[in-house]
Amino acid sequence: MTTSSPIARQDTMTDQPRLRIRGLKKSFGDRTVLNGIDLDVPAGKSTVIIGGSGNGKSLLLRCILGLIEPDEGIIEIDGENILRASRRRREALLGRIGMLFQNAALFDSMSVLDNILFGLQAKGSGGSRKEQEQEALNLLSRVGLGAHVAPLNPAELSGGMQKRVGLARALAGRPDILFFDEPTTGLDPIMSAVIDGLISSCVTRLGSTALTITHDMTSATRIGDHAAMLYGGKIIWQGPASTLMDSGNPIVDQFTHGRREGPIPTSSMTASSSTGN
Amino acid sequence: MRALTLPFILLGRGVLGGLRHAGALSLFALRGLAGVLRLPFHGQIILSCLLEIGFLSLPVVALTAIFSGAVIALQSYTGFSHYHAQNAIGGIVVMSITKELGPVLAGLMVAGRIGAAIAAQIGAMRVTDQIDALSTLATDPVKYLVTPRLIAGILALPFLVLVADILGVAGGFIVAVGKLGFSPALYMHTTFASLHSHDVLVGLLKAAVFGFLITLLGCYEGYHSRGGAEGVGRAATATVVASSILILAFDYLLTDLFFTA
Repeated sequence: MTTSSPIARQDTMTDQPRLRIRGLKKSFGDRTVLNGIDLDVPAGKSTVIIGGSGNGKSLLLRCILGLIEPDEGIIEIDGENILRASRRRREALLGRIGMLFQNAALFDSMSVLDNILFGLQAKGSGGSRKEQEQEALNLLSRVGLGAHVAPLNPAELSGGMQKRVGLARALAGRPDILFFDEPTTGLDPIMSAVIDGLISSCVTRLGSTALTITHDMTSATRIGDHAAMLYGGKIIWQGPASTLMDSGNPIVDQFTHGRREGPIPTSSMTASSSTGN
Repeated sequence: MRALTLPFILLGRGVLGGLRHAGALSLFALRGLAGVLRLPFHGQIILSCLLEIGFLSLPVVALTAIFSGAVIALQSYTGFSHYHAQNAIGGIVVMSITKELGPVLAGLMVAGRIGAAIAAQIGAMRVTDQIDALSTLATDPVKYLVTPRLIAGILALPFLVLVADILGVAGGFIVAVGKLGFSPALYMHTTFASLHSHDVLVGLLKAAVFGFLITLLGCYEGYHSRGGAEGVGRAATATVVASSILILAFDYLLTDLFFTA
């Protein structure tokens, strides 16, 4: 079940997608990075976006999160266009979102515990300080880390542990939408499997909607229910993640199988997108 | 033809770039100051910034002030002794320190010590996505990072300058009495005779402006840094250079405003 027309696919869906993107465009100077993105992210499912370096995957996430203003387009969460929402309303919508950055982006001036407490307090979690600390330790335990790491600084942790703490912080406040920016980059295969397992459990056990940006095919097929490929500033393919390795689309097939020959010129994979601030 | 127009094109680009930069800096300053009006009030962060900018800068500012006062006393004695006007040294030291050297030297010292540190701290947060992480945690990064530093800069610099004023005069006193053989009572008499509250208050006002400029530039350059460690280094350098120039420029403007009327 694959399609090259996301809008046509939307017409066949009965449930409203949790996240709906239409005609999203973003350019930097004369370089167009996103050139009319159309994407639906169904509620309670894990969607994976694949694409080469410099194709704008992280930029797409930053536009959805409001970190970068797109030039045009629509981004709706449960039918509400966040680009037209007031700042207060946008902050409220962001409160429903958890984000795990590629490098975890833990606050290095704070301990692990304080990083998670920051997430809890920022998302308006009530209770006394003691209750919040207990909740933070529960979150650490959920990502497989013991209380002994709570007083450590992020710099004292390995890359995999930092990712897990980042995930614990992202889960603070029980967000119903989770974004993951290349969650397994730089991790060994075992730690990648651990992180993938945690992402899958967020979707299956917590009922969250997940959107993951990755170019790790093993991870994409392991965690994704749905998959889409971003190429040339557009979503060129989307379908079930189980068909990712056998999509029938020559561009997707070249990318997923890592072939040098094919419709994707290797020179287009080297440029890195400028996401600005 | 192109050779003739090229200088004007470059000049125009330079002017437009400067205006764009000034506009962006002004809007950033307004966003930072507007953070004071919105909850939550990050009192603990403000206290921590006050400690960093004010208390921990005390040694460097104190030493600078003591030696400046001592040098002014020594140099004034050398020059004034030709005209038998040595008794004016106490007045010269206190006026130089309170009107100019206290605020300017403290400002330059803090620009080097704190401006660069702020730019590096916030720049490192920018290039490691920590600022974006704040946004995704429903926290306004300008209010969280910039507003407390602006408040601390405005409050801490006058405190440092007050200390610099006292220690600068003390430095002059030590040299005048200990080395040049002045009577302590006479030196203090000429000092107090030349000490005017207007001079001290304008000096403190200058200090508040310098504190605002140093922290603003540090935050602005750090917030907009890009390009990894090299970008953070550039932000720190740009902060020290720009804030040093602006301190001297604003010193002239404020002196013209308050002392030449």
